[in-house]
Amino acid sequence: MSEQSPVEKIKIASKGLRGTLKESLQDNYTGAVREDDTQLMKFHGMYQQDDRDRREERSMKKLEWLYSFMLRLRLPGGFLTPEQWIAMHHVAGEHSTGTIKITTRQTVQLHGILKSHIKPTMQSFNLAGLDSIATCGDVNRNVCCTSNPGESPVHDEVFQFASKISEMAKPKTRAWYEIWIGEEKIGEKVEEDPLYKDRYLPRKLKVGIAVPPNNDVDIFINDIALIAIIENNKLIGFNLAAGGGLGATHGNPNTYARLATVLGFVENDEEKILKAVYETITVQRDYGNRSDRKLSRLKYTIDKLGVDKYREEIEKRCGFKLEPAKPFEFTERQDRYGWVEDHKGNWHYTAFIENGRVLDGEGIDLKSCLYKIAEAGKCNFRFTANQNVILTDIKDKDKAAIETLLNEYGLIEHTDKAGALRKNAIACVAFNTCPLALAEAQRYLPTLISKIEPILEKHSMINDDIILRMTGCPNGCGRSPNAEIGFVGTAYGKYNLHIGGDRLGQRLNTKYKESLNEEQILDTLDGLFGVYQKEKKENETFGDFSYRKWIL
Amino acid sequence: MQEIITLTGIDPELEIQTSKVTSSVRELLQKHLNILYPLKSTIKQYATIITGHEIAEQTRLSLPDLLKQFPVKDAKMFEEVIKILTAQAPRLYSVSSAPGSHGVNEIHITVSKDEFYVEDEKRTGVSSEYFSTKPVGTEFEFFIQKQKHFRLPTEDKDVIMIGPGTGIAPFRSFIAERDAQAASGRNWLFFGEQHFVTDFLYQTELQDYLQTGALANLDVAFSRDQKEKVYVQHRMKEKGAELYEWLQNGAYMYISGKREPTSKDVEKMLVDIFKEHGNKSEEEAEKYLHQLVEEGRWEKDVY
Repeated sequence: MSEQSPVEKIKIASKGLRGTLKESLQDNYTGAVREDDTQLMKFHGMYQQDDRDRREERSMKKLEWLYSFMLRLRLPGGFLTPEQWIAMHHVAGEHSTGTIKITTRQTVQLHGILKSHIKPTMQSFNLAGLDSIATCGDVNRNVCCTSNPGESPVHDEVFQFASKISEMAKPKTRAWYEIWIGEEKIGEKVEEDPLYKDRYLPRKLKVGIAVPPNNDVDIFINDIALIAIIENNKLIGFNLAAGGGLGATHGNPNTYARLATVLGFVENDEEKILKAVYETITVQRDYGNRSDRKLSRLKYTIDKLGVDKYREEIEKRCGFKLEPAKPFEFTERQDRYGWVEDHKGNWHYTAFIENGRVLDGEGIDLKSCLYKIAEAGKCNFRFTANQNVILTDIKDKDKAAIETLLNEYGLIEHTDKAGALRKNAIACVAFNTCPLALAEAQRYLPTLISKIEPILEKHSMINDDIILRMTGCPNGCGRSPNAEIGFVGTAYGKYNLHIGGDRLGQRLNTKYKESLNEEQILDTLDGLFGVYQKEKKENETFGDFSYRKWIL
Repeated sequence: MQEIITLTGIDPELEIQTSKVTSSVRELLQKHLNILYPLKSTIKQYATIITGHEIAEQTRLSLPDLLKQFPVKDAKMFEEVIKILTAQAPRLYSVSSAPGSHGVNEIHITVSKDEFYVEDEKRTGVSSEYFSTKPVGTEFEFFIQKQKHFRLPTEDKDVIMIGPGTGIAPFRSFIAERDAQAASGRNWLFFGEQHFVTDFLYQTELQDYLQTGALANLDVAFSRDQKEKVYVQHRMKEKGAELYEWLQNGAYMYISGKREPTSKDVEKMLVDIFKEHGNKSEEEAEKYLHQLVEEGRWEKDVY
């Protein structure tokens, strides 16, 4: 066996993810944590970052880089009570940049938290019944689930599984409480963790749950995916899929994006469902690559073992067989903007939040609006995997009051007037905080879309629900590899253009042009749209057409 | 200067003899005399020359301010004013470089930009403003004033340095020199400022020294980053036991910076530390501090 990656050694030596984090917090001459601890911080839900825009200026001043931390909450299925929203609103203002960033995995990130502010931040979250345990790092990350309760009568039953899986796959160590909240450590012994042992997983692991016919969670990008199978408005079980993941590395042909493969069906028996997910994780834990982190996601393990062998291994560990997969159909992959009523008569309003950035200014006071709504206490908040917010579980009698507040701040108009392309777009964070970014994404995509829109208009495509996504590097956080139009940053101002992904997220796109600048992007799209409009079949999406025309 | 000439109508080429030099008005105003912030005593004398005006003492007025608010009668009267102006005083800065580390052809100083308000109008310190506005490569006159005290001990001795703000200057020089000497004695620096993110002078250098071991300890206090103000003396108290142990081992201790309140507060805290960790009474603790002074192990360079 080749040598273990350095991160493996750090995990094993960490005494239950404790490392020297307490000491790192006391090193008050630096805004960073000690090198090994930067790895462990992830398991506690934080990334150490720095303001890349200011590196040069600071080094001239003999100041270290402006380190700060990005903190991500654990919100299975993306759910917050109004009280929790209020708590988060205040924490964001006091300790971070102030922007509440909704992520592509239905949770929230705060950026720019200085080291000295981490503990107060965590303590405020803890008081609100929130935590950031295992939201980054080599563990099961935030569990996603189809967001809108209006989608299906079985939504609530399915949604419960997100919390159950999150709890089941949460590390057993109390380190988070000791380090950030100040809980006393009981004894010297490190907690037993039958799932993670002392090595945790070879790499991050994502679990998602989808309720067809809407694939709003982009289910096939998950390492482990559950697809609800519904018959006669009853949940009869889940198809289990595994091996999704969109990250790749420029210039490394051994890395690739992959969609999850459906392995089989598990009947609606909570114990069996959880067991199947659990053992899918343990197979990855035991067979995953621990020497090369670029090849350590479950998708590589499943290809290395073979799908059948992976399934057999799960079945052996479960003590039961997976049944043959049941048929299912997705018909869309979008958020249901505006009002939706569910089978119980409750209302849900999905608001458009560009790039998931909740802040005041930039044309609309989103943060104040949502705060006001939270204060009214008449709805819960759910996040979507498209980085939007749903004001949810609203009683019929309260709907008017919420609508008044939405109108007062112009959020309904804001949502209604956003174009189809913009509403379906996703961009990762990239500059100025992501250390991996090669090109802009979140800060640039809104402008690029404004320049693409007139071209769409010209080709009468302005109302098409084309899925366009941009990532600042090939790691796929913005899920560009399964978009109809995907941009992957290669250098500052340069993007590879990928086309041919389908609208529903079931086919990856393919690189079509390399390292285009903005002008080349606009020219190329103009050309492609022109051909599409002339030659498309009836009801053929841009993604399907471009696949048939230019990729096949 | 031009403003003053316009205000008074004096001939800039007129030769005047002051107590120190004889030169043209232009030269005097430009190079030799303190025209920006005349001393209080100068302002008093000014009041007697122009007569009939009480000039309040509390504000820092520049000569142009005075001339505008309390004009001289004519150029002749301004000649008298020139004679009472004091010479521009030299500004003394601690050298913050060390020949062993930065070479014999470089001298570094550490200057903080002095900005303050007079009746809501922003004003700047004469010298720091001068440095900050001149381009790189500007030449100016300076002299070196030798320090008799406040010098490093032999290389085997431990050194504790307390240098908040620009008080860090001599200690940057100390640490650099000790590093160049590969001194066997340990170095411990206390530094303080207002904000960690923006005000940490020489942060990366100090971190490097900490990495290489040239600094054994680095303790910092940033007063305005939290609700309660935290200063260097609070960090000293937190490390009181270790600090006392260093001193018991013969460490040399230095402070540089403001006399009020820093050095006073630090001394108070030292007495507390000696009481707590040396089991001393107030009197014994003060005696211990005094003894350090006697032995040349407690040196102050404060202003």
